[in-house]
Amino acid sequence: MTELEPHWAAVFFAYGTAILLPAILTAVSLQQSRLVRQHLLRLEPDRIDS
Amino acid sequence: MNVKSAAKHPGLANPNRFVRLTGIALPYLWAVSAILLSTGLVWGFAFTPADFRQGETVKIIFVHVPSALVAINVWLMMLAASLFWFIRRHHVSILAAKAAAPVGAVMTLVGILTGAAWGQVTWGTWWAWEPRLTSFLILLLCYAGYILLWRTLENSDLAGDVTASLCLFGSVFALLSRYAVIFWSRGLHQDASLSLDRQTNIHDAYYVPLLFCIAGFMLLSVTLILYRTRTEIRHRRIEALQRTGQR
Repeated sequence: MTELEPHWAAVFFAYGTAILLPAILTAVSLQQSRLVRQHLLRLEPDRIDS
Repeated sequence: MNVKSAAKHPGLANPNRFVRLTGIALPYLWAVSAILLSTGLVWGFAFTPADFRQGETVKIIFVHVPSALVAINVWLMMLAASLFWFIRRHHVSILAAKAAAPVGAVMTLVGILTGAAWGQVTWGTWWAWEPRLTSFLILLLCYAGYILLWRTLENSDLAGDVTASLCLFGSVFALLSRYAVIFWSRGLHQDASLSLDRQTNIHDAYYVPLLFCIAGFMLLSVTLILYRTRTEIRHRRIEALQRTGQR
């Protein structure tokens, strides 16, 4: 197997980190929002703005 | 929402209005940040030339500089929101600061990790105890402390006061990580890559995609902060309803 050149390895690591970490945060934020919204709708089913 | 409440909390300081207006804006913000980010990242990664000295490693600039810029600016935004909380006691402002902390922490971590990968190839070391790197590490610890304080303190008003105080203290390191390269000239870290004076900027081949990446990272952070603030407002509403139900 050919070894990756150090320059490219560093670039892949940096891009991977910069895409993966914000993507995880976005996924967690979406999931939290969904759960909180469902909980609030159970408490206030008539509230349109919630 | 009654008239008295609207008068007490004008504009976006009113939680109901904040949820309604951000609900309209958020789909557009998600879309524009996705377009800017994908354009900037693909352009930077695939269509920029290798540097004559750094080789392909120079492409790390398109993720390192934007994440570091956002990391500092999110803390400054939290500072403004905390000051607003101290002065006006608007709950939306301190909830926005609370919602922003994980975004800033992730961006700080991205800035440190991408910088470490860059440093390993160009400086021959992952880490150096030099002014900018050290102040950035302290900024990450400030973010961690801020998030932990919110999780630890049960009284939300007290948590707002304590975390806002930490925010004032941490601002020293946020500003230090921005200006450390000017205060101390002996560090390993290079000078700022961008400036309003175009003569000191990087070459146009890198400059334009970098602007796309910066705009994309900034807009993604703003979108995430608004989205997470809506969740915090709803969570606060649930707590209030549960308290009323227990009485």
